Amino acid sequence: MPGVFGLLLCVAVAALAACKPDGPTDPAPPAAETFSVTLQWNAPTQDALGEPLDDLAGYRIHYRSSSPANGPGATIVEVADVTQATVDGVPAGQWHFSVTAHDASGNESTPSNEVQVEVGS
Amino acid sequence: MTAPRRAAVAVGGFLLVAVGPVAAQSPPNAPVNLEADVTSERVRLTWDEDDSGPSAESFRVYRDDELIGTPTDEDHVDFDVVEGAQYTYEVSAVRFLVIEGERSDPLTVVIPGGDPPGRPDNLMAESVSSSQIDLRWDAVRGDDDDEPAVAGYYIYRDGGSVPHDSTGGAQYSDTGLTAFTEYTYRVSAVSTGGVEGELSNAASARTADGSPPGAPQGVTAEATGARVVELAWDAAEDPESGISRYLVYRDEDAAPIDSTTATGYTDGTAEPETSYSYRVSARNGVGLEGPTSAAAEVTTPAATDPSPPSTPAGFSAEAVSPDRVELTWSAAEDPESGVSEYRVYRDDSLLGTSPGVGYVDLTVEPSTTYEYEVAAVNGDGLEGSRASAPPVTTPGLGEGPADTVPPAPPSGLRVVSD
Repeated sequence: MPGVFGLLLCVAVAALAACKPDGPTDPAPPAAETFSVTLQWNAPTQDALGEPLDDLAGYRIHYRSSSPANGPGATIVEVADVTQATVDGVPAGQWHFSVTAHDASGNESTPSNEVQVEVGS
Repeated sequence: MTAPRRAAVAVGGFLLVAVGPVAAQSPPNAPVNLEADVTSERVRLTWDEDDSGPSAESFRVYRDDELIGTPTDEDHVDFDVVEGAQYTYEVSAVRFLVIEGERSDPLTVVIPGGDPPGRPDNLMAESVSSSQIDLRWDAVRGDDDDEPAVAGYYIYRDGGSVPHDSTGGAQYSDTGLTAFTEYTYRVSAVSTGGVEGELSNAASARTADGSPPGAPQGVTAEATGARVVELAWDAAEDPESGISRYLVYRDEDAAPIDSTTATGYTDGTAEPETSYSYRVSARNGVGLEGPTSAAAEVTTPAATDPSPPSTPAGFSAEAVSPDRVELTWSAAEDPESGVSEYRVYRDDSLLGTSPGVGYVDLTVEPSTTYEYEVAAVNGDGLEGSRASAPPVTTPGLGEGPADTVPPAPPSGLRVVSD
């Protein structure tokens, strides 16, 4: 009986979205498999001139398929004033990571040491 | 219905009896004692015939120069009235139907009621003296067909529900006020029909402090060194706006040598073996200066140490923030009488004194350049030569000293998992 009513309603008010018969939803596109990389580092305690650093604001993680990690086309992830971060959405492959610090005035440090990671192997 | 019938009878009688030359008859006198009883629906007019002249058979009632009635009795009621309107009535007496006397004195009445007038805008209050505030506002025009005529304005003061006063024009002077007191006003327009409109904006003003403070009492002067005179006095009073500063005068100079908020002053510019006369005046919160005090006389002693102290070395000035300059120097020397204090100058005028080797200036403005000097004063009050520092500029508000140095790089980057 509901089916008959539904059909009648469809005839009466054609073009109502509610009249669209139930069916399977569109399948999601196949997602490329990605991975997470968790990094740790030591916070700087001085500025570039050796004075005490009292306005550290945060970090940027750079990664790229070749060295240097912060070279052209690098992916940049902004992180807060922490010393460990997990970078999500990293595709499988070889990646070079480095991290820079910046202060409240926007001055950015040179990169840290670089680490190389084989992801998804 | 009675009046027209009586008039008709009078006309008939006249035609039968009086065939003589009516133009030769003298006219009756103007009616007197014209009065009106006014409501919002009608105007009842009454008057008296002037019995000293020829008697009248009827009267003519005029409203705004237009004939509106010819009663035979001494009264007439005008029902054709509009609320808020203003009418001027006159009455004349008539003999023999056509011989009309002079009109009475005019009587103007206003019909009560009608629409309220508009709101007065832009009320402004201005203090003109210690006892008077003048008010001005935009007149309510009241000359449109939609708006009633404005008869005047009510003045309300300090939120009272009863008008403080009324006035005809769009301005008012409130007099007899208390000095240095704030008053708040609103005004409203009143129609000729007696209907009051909306209150204006509020406007406030404070009356001036008209009385200067009295002269400081108990001024004393003491020479504490060959070149130093210390003054002290009792606090003066100004009940209205208070005391803001004291001005110190020396000898017969018209201009004060300095001013201070304290009830004392040290004059470090005196010369040895010299007589001085000091007077002090008080200035109140609105800048009115009172009379100067009685003079305090003092004579400085002879100098005991004629050689000045050395110049402070290593003088530096640093603007550490927009409102703070820090001064440092090395101690000066005076082998004879020692160093008693240091005098700090800013842009060539005395800023203050310091017993030791340092001074913080908290009276600076942001983004401003200053030149500082410092000199030592020996135990006999003699000042040595000044040391100067390069000009110093305070940072602007919101800026510290500019930070252009980046942090050192993070170190020890390592992968923890995955």
